[in-house]
Amino acid sequence: MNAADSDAQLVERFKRGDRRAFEMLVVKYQRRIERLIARMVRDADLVEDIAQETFIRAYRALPQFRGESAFYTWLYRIAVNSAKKALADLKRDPVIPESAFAQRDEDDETSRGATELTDGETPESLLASKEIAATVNAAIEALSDDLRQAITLREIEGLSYEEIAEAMNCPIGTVRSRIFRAREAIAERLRPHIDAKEGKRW
Amino acid sequence: MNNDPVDAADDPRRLLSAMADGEADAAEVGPGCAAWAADDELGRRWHAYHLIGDVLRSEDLAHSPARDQAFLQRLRLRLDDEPAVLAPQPLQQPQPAPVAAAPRPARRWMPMALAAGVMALATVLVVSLAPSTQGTAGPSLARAPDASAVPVATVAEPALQAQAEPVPPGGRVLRDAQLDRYLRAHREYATALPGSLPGGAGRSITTVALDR
Repeated sequence: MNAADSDAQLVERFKRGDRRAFEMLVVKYQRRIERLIARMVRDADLVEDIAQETFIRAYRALPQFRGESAFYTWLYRIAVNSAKKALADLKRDPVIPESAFAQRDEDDETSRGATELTDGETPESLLASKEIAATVNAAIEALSDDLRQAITLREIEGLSYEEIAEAMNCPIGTVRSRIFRAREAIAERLRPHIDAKEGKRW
Repeated sequence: MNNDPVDAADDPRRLLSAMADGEADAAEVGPGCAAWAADDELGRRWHAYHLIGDVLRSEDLAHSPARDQAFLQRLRLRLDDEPAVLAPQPLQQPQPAPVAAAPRPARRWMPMALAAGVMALATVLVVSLAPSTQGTAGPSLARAPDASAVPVATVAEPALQAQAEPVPPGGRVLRDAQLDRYLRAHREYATALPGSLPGGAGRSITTVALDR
């Protein structure tokens, strides 16, 4: 199984009528979808609205999804179309100022200056994001070589368990275990940040 | 650093980790979804696993979990208003129903079929007992081998003509009639369907009325 069809199991599960499988995919892709939309639209509330619309459309269309492309490619296409439609609607009936539209030269998210906030992004949320990134990076550094290598090959290189097993010369069961242990070790370090605002159900 | 968390094979977190990569056993996916929804801690873990992956790939994906959670809550409310969706299932077992329904009509038509068989046999006997002079003017297929002296290419054409000859006049009419009956029946069924879609009860009554 490669990275491209790593969602096939959940997609299949959803097609059998299990909505939870779809919600799990939402949790997986929400951040990437929002970032993609934020490259086209500046207003944070509008970004979230379009992301919501994207997942609703995906929910409706997923039963017809045949798997010719990877799920995330398909989802990205829906997000781009949703953003384009929202922008076209706004141009026809502008209730949101021109500043809502992201400029083309900001397409690359890394071009945004560290002190520049998008609308709706608070200094607190930015700080929380930075803390999370720093915590994950520190946790990765603290991992044993085996665990760090396994999670890196999986998350950054996108290799399958089988490919990682071959690369690390160990059984697939060991790969599964190493990736799980790496994630757990990092998640434990994240816990103070993640548990800070509890109360709602996942 | 504690690199040695609980690593029992039946740890649901371990299953979620495999599911995050699409590497769980197929039979485990359903129970994994159920566990995810039932246990808030597993919900947090699922989010954390993906957040970790996102941050490893790009630091600007480091959202605060509370924000992601609020996004899902809001989406859930909208999904509640959506009609339940199911993928159209492939027709895996179209045969069983017709097979089960077949015996009765088959038994009813059996005497007719027997009679037809007897008639066919009688016809064959009459033809074979007829004077042998008719044999040369008989089926074109039988004549084709006699022309084996001519080149192969020209042999093939008479053979094709011979095969095609009996079909056109009568055959086409017969098939159209069957097709018409089939289409008519299905068109009636199709028009009966939409009206009876909302409630299942009326549907079978309508269908029965049309079938009989």
